[in-house]
Amino acid sequence: MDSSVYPNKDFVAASKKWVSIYCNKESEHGSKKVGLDKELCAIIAGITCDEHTKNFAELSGKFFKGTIMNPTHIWCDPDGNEIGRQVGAMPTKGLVEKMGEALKKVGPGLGGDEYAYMNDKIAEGQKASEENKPKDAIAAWTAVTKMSKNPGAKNVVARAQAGLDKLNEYGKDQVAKAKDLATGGDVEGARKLLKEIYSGYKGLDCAKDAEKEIANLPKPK
Amino acid sequence: MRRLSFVAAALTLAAAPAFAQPAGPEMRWAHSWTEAMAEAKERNVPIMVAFHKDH
Repeated sequence: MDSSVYPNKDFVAASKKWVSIYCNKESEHGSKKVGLDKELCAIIAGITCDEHTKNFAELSGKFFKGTIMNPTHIWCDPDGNEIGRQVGAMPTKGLVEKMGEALKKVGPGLGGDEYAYMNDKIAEGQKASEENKPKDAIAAWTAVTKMSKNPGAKNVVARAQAGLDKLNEYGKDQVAKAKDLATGGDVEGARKLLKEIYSGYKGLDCAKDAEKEIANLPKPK
Repeated sequence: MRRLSFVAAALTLAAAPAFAQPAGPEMRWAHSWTEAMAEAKERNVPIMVAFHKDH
């Protein structure tokens, strides 16, 4: 199955609907060099032999009492509770069908490609926020929150929304500071700060607040 | 010009599980059970656990 089912393009496409973990206590199949300093398992994509041997050590006790039959496929809910299993090699179609049944039991989920896209956007927003680019951070995180109609996306959307909420909170604090400046007589300082919030935080409530406060300031001479 | 003391440092969004990124059309495998469950919970999807031995 390592060389027939898992690399099969139909299986690769279907596997984006769930999470997969590989357990094998043996590593005689060897590693391959990837790039300058990475060594990955020669037969399973993207992981090391150390990882799949550790997975075996951790999970064989969880899922087997006594003899471990290889190969065995076990499908679990997101909390790791077993839904079903099949001992012995399975054809691509059979395994996809079994995982389809597990998908139905678990409910609407988020596809792997969408998940990767959303995580990229969240990271992009995080980077922008660290580089003092609120406009870019808002654009990246809003791209994620726009996917809220997908019921499987709610947890990832919540992470992006948390970023937007913190930005908004900060923007509102700045608007309050600007009001204090105006009250203290520094109207131009207040105007400058409010304009920064208005232009940099568009799409958030704090930008609307800033716009209102700009309108309340005395006109510049 | 006043420079906003940005809140970036305070923005610590929960990190996503860092799975291996395949170069081509390959399966993605979780590095660990902890990562597998973290991603499965976040996506609300099942987990396929594959047990194998070398031939």
